[in-house]
Amino acid sequence: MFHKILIANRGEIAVRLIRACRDLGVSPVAVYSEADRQALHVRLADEAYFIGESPASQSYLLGEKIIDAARKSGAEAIHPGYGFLSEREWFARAVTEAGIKFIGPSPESIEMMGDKTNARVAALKAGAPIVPGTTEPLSDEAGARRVAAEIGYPVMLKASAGGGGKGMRIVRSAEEIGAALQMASAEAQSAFGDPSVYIEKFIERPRHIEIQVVADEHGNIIHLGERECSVQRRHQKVIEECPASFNDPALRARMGQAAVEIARAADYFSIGTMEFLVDADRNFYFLEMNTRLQVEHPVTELVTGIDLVREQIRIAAGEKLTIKQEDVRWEGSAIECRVYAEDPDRNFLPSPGRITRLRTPSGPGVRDDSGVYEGWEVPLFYDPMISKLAAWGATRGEAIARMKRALGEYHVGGIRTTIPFFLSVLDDEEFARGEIDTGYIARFLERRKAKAETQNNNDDTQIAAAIAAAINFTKQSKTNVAAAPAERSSKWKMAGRTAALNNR
Amino acid sequence: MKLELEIDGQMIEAEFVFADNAAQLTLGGETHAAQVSEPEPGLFTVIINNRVYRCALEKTPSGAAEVIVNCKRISVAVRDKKHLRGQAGEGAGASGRVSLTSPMPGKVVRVLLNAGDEVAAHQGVLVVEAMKMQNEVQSPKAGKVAEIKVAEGQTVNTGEVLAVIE
Repeated sequence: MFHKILIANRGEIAVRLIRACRDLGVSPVAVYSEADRQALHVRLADEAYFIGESPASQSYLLGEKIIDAARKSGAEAIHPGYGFLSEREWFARAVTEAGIKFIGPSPESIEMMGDKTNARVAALKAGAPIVPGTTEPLSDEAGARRVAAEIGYPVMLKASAGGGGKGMRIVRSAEEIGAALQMASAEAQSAFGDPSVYIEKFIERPRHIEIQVVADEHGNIIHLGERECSVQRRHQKVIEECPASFNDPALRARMGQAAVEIARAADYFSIGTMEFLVDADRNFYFLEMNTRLQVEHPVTELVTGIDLVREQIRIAAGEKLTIKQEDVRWEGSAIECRVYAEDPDRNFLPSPGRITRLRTPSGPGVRDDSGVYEGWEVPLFYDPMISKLAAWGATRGEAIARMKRALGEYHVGGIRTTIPFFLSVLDDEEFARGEIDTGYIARFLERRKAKAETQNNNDDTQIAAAIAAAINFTKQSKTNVAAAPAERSSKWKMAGRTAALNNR
Repeated sequence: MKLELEIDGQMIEAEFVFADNAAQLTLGGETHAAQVSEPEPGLFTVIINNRVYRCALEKTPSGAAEVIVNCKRISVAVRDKKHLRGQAGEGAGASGRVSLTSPMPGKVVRVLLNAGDEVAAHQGVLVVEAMKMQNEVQSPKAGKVAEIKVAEGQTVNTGEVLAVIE
């Protein structure tokens, strides 16, 4: 095992990695930017090295500075966390060439699986399903009809040069394809100056399901089941669950096997995640791989009892997996909410600033992976996530109830957070029934808008607020008067003394 | 004590009495009695009809006062009728000149309109970026852009005036 590990990251994940180091008896080394001089991860580390100005491009993305800090500190390994340099093949290579262990996969694996096309090739080689279709432009209507019949309706026509929804058409039957092809082609021509259109299977209301894999450097690969990540806003995951709300052990086994085979085809080691789309009929299609630790790893940890970061570090130290596939157990249900410094009442506007008050939840089944403290000023340079709140319960319903309780106890003052938004999602009946897919949040926000117009506070919430504000106001008035000129203050003093005497 | 309250945008006159942890708020001819404690500065426990309301005093990014009650945000402005002292509510109303201020510290990435342009209510005027997110600053009312006070690429602070609409 290593004696010292440098953590090339910040925020909650740096804190999470420092905790894993402590658990293993390893000394954690932090790096920090100008804005992070007082950050929590710096306060918790044994050593800390300044690496540059606040923008990430002048600090956390400077590989050479980070490697220099590792050399100076004598760290034998670097953990990149997620984001920043975690999926940069050149960084993994530079670290390795500096004689330092990169805690993650080989540079070759990052290069291969980081590229979507290469990753799809690897998936095909491993016999895993990918979204059916062809990236070749369609020649004519007859050709389109033939390909569509092969992959099955509904299909999606997409502009080869395209993006942004232009030149895209959903086709539900053979009768529609002629007209749709003409329109898509014309749209593609006018938008991109290129009429070429290709065809892909259209997946309706897909769920975003990912499989966690763990692989050592000795060829042992296992999977730890799925995480449901369908609840997304602007393609950003906000709530994750393990197991998926449709909890289907047979599907888990099939997807897990596919993920393991893809990892094997890519000679992958360390921990990694395969992302899939799952359609309403529970067919799954490989999308891409993340060759790093995922943000949402705690839900898998809570349900399997396996510390993923610890495993990742042990694997990097050359150790063999101690768990076999048949030993992996999924107990209960876990859910995670990503607490962002964003204002849900104002279209999720970022809300950086000083945290004037922080009360974090506790109690049975609650885990808060936070990167902040009371008095800390959330900088505007980085990702706005301040914490990941996770809850575990024996059933999905129990996990949701505990999450609601924990969110209710969570109080962040001074900045706005997404906590109230999560509370309303967890109260939503569609969510409770597990009727979620990647379009869920958009539909939920529409429904909530409609509901808000008819809703009224029918209890004394407003009265309570008015009373608290009024007391605060009268207190302020008193302080203002007390701070007034001397001749008046003496009268107050006198009045106070009189009152004190009278009260005897 | 006579107070003027603005609760979630609604103006109301109230009579307020507070002594020995007991508060009485009379508004609209109805008196509400509450037991109140302040276990930590700015945190109030207000008990009305044996129901517990956990209240935390906060300020909006624009400086207006609000109270978070059991995770719900209620904006409350309090003014003393006699002294006409107190915090103003959010926004300057829909008439006259309105300043568009930056809702957060960040960078102006795009200026969408020029001085003299007509602007519709809720139309975007500028885009400010912070924390890898771009956010449109919209005009609260229809009118004309009187002034654009910042340039693309400029760094701005919370509350800094970006543009004036008239």
